[in-house]
Amino acid sequence: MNIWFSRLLIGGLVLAAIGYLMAPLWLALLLSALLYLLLEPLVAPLQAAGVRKDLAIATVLLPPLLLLVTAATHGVNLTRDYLPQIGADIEHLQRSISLLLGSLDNQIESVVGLRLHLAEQSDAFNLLDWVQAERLIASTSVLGNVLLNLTLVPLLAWFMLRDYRGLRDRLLSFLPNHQFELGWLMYHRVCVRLQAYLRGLLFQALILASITAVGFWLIGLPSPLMLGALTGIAGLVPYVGPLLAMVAPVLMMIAGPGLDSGMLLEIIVVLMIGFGFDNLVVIPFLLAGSVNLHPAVALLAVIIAGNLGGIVAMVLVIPLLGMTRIIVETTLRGLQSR
Amino acid sequence: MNLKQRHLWQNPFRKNDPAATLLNAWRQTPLLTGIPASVCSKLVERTHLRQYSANEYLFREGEAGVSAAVIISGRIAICSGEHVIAELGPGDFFGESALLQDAPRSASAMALGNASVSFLVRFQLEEFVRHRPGAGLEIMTNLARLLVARLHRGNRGEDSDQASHLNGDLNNAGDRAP
Repeated sequence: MNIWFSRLLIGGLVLAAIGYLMAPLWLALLLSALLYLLLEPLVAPLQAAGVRKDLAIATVLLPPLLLLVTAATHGVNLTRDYLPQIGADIEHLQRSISLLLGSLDNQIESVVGLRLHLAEQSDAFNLLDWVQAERLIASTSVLGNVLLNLTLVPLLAWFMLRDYRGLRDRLLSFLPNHQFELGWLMYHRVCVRLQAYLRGLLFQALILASITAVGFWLIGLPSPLMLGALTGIAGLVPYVGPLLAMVAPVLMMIAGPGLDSGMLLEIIVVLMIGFGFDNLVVIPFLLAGSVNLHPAVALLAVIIAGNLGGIVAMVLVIPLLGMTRIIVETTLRGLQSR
Repeated sequence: MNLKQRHLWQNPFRKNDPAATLLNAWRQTPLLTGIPASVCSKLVERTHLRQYSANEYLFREGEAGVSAAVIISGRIAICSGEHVIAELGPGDFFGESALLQDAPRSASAMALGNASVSFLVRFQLEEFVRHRPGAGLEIMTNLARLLVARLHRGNRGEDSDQASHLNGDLNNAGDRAP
């Protein structure tokens, strides 16, 4: 029993070390794994129809590749057009926040008789000062890393679709004789749960993005597609997703048409409809039971992961915990049968 | 040159071609009856050849089984508790019910000396069937025939020792249904 636990511990430590070393590529690996899960079911029927494997992979990879190139080109053009006016927009945003806090301060004073000087405190934090050269350079390197990751996605997805099974077979053949079948069983259980979770997550993001994009378009917010996409991504973060989703549309409203309590209410209604549909329909049908963790454990794990590794870690921590649970359960069951 | 061509043209000169031996062993199992050699070779490429030393267990009674096996060389004892139910030799095919369901092994399998055994894992067979549905249907039909034959033998109350030595339509003593 002790040998098993020490092996599990060593295995866990090795995986953690590999995870740490691969940290700059997590985004690329996550996105290519999602692409693999999405496209792999399309490759099988093409191969079954007699199409060669490489040609089948190229056929299914072409549409997402074209989509990615189009989105990247659009993003670069948008950034190039937007950069010259970023200073004016930040000043406008600062003024709007100051006005909002000033009116809030007045209301508090009229009701409670206490003045908090919120507007003065917010003015002390100058957003333009915050956007300094070093920060811009730092954000450029982050942007560079994201672009590198995005460039790697089609390449990694290609290799996953072509060589994943061969690599998996080779790795599993290293298992010792008495753990050969247990190893395969464990792999299969983890894969089934993980695939169900990640596929569900992908469809959840697409559905949430579509609903909120339409809602933002209806209430007249600028760039509804981009805001919908950001909401879809924020929705991937368990528990704190709805709060994160509020940030972009509210900032966009303040910087764009200006502060409007009616529009703020409309934004909240759109997000409530989106997340309500997500929680009542999408999650029960697509994600329920796929990881089977206690909500308190999941919430704690999400907060700790967010503190340690940011949003990508917050998205990944739940499936990782689910995997760990399956591995431990299968190992214990295997031990009990001996 | 595929495995079939290699088998046809190289055998007179190289009698101990391991790939051809493996392919032959699998083709002679009831699972791959009537399946073309080219398709068989694709499936056999996914099997796992493992080496066992004397008294080493291939699997134990009660463990979860996920694969069927063919003995390439050596002898394997099938045991239930303390009793040896059957002794299997090269070419014998066993454990096929694990290709269909997640059930615990109903008997243990132990190598009696140095042995070489080729395993076909259920999940890889499922992937193969998904990519080649035509051949997959035939393999699944063969598997169903094999299990029906075993059921009939069970209903007739034939001795499992005898059954295990009938190396034709049924040599599955290693994983009998409970």
